[in-house]
Amino acid sequence: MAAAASAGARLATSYVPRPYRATTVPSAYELHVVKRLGCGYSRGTLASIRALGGITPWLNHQLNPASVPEAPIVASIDSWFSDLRRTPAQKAYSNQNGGKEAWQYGLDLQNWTLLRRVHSNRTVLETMVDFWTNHLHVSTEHDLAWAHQANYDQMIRRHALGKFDDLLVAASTHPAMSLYLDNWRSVKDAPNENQGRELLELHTVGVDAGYTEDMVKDSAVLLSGYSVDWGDTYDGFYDSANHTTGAVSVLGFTHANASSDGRAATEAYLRYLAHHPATARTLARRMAVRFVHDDPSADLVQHIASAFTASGTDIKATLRAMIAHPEFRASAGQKVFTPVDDMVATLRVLGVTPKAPTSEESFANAVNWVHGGLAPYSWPRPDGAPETNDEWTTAVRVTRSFEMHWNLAGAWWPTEAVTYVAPRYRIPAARIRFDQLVDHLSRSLLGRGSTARMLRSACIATGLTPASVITRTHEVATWKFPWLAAVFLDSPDHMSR
Amino acid sequence: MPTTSDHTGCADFERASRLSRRGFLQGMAATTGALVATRMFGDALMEASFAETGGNVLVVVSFRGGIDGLGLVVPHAEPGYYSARPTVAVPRESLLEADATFGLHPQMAPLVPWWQSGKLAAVHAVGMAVPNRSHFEATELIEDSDPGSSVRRGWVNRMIGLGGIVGPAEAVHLTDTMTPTLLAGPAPTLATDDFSGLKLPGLDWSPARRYSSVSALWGGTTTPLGTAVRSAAEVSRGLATTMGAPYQPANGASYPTDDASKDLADALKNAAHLIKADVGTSVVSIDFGSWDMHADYGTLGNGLMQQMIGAFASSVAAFFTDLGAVGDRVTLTTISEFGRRVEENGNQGIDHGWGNAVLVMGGGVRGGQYYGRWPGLGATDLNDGDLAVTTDYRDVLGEIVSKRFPDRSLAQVFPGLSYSPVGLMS
Repeated sequence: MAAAASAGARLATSYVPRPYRATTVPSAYELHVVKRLGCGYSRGTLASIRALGGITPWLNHQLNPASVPEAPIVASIDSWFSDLRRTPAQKAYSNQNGGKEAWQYGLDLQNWTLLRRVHSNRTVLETMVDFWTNHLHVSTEHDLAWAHQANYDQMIRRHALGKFDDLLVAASTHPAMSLYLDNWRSVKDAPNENQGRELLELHTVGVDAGYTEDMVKDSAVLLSGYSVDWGDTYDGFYDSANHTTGAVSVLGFTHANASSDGRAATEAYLRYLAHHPATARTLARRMAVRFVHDDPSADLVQHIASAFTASGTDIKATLRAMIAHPEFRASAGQKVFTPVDDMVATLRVLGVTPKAPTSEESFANAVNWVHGGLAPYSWPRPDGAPETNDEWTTAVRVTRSFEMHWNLAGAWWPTEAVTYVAPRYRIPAARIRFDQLVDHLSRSLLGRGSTARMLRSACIATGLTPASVITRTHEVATWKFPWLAAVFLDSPDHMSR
Repeated sequence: MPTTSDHTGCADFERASRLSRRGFLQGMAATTGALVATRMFGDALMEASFAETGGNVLVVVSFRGGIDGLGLVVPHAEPGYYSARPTVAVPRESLLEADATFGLHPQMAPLVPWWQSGKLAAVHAVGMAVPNRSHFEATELIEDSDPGSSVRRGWVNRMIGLGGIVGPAEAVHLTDTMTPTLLAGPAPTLATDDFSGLKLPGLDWSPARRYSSVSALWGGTTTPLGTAVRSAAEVSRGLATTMGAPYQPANGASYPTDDASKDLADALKNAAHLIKADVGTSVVSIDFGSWDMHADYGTLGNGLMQQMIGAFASSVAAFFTDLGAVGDRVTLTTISEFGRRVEENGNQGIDHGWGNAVLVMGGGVRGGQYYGRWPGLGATDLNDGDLAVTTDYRDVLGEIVSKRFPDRSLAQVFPGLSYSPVGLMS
């Protein structure tokens, strides 16, 4: 009797994963690449990797986004946010005359951006748009830049997989940046220093590059003239009358700067900075922290920086070099998803599909309220949102992300103009053991087989045992599904990349 | 296992629930260390924090973006101040509580009663020993306050970490859910913008199962995210209930609700709620700003500076009114990464500078006066056009810490500081 009871107890506490191999999974490396460079895992992504013949051709296509057929819903998403394509003057008019307000244009940009990240097939492009927008940050919270922000986003998209020198010239002279960092107000012989300093410190060479306060002032001199006709046409223009002339010298760049049209000098300066070795290190480190891990080795940073310099600031070549470094492959799972990236990944694996919005409660117009974290592009300072784990591993961040998982897994909110997959469709057979269901869900939601830990957690969460038999009318296929889904969505695997 | 019905549940869960919490904790402590045990099971931790009730509280208001100390605490006797700022200088006759050297910006009016009753003081020419005009680097250096160390651990985290194992309520950031550098580090802290919604979702069916399943999923995970999950569960079980009730300000306090004030006022109202709840909080951190007024600094009648100072003064006045007698154990200090240049720029704005003013208010403050050694604004007095620093910011913060929290070692909170108190605390 005693022996039998003891054997029974051992059986009861034994959580051996039971693979459900009919549900295929990517290799660990494939999963790593799509979670780092794409927008999270999904069955659709796995299908496209298989259709293209592996992760290398998949990545090659992703780096040439035009070669990736776009998901049909993306055109619809674009059409839902047509207000973003109004001119700055139209936006300013509506803001001042009781129409759509500035913050609503910002919210549109955020919702549209989030939906593209969830639904575009060009996920590496979406990721790099986020990366560069954060590096060359213009906050949606700013009281003027908003009018040009949608256009700024289009500019970033054009250059996100191109050359950094072109991107830097376009961003630094863009009306959104001029408005955000006060350059548009520069007056002759008293240039505003804000953008001149951040161009050096944040966008290019970095704070330790050895520039002086006089160089900061010369940097501001070089940028002066790029202005915005705020209050009238609202367009950007070059204002020769407010370009400060006179010889300048910044970190080895010298220019007579004698002409009141300083645009040639500005562009020469920006290209000089883009190719400066210190800029290569700034960007290499930023890429490594974003895509590899928080404490990249000097070797990795140098490897990426060398590729950046050797390629003439080519972003694709730089990314390829980073991916080829062994530290990239070895870093799987070491980065924490931001709340926004967590939500994007969650929506992808759950297959939540928005429909044309009919009110501000509609999913497409409310998705920015779902993630519970820092909204896209809303970081309040010019350094861009943090990209290291520490900032994204607070208690309340966890609570809010769990809440987001709960809302989406349970289809609790938002419920207007959206289709959620009903839990019963996630049960792959008419009758299935619970341990097999756990494995199937792990495979379909996480892209990997289940573990003993997941199985045990799932048993505790639901009150079931590994041998329990589940049908499509079972409570975990209906009202109790969120408790089971939380085992996967609230897990280290899902919340890390 | 011939018959296992669904409702018998997992054996592990049942075994865990049969154990008494104390016994289970003791077991955990024996096997995996006390820290893990206490951080996994919040109730015990909260009990430890609750033991330290009625203690002093430090409220740090970080003026983000670099406030212009020369416009907040105006050196009205300096001709150089008025000549460098032809459009944005604060006229002498408009200043409040002026002495021979300084006066307060007129938008500080709501705080004048505290100045007059000796509860509010100002220190001028405060900052880091070496100028740093980068927002981001200066902020990191000031909040880390451990020169020469590459470890990212803020001075508040070192301060709270000295009392042994404490709960996340001991230091709370009340602006957003991201931990600022001054709180960052191994001692648990809390960052939130709201005290509602701190419970984990999914507790309505079986809270015990929900907590236990989360614990099964994350238990033993030593990553920062694993620590955060345990902390979230702990807050959900403890503080979320304590702080979940709606809060009514006392003493007729009216927190401002206008756009400029709302975020700060909400944070201070949450701080008052937390302090009165007496859950062992010793430090509250609040961000306010941007004060990065390269343009639109403005004049007394319009512009960002007068608006923001007014927002600060009215919010803080409401906070101390609300606290009433509890305010005697609360000391509020401001801090900012740097001051701003003496000379205004071409946009009614002021670019980055160095020396700055600090306001200190509340319990223990010898107020109603200006402190610090004034370096002057003459051409040879300035550093690259900026007010020089004559008081290390750590001497101001250090004096508050040493007088209000005498059990904390200043040498550990501010390593390497050659402490020289200003004399503003009794």
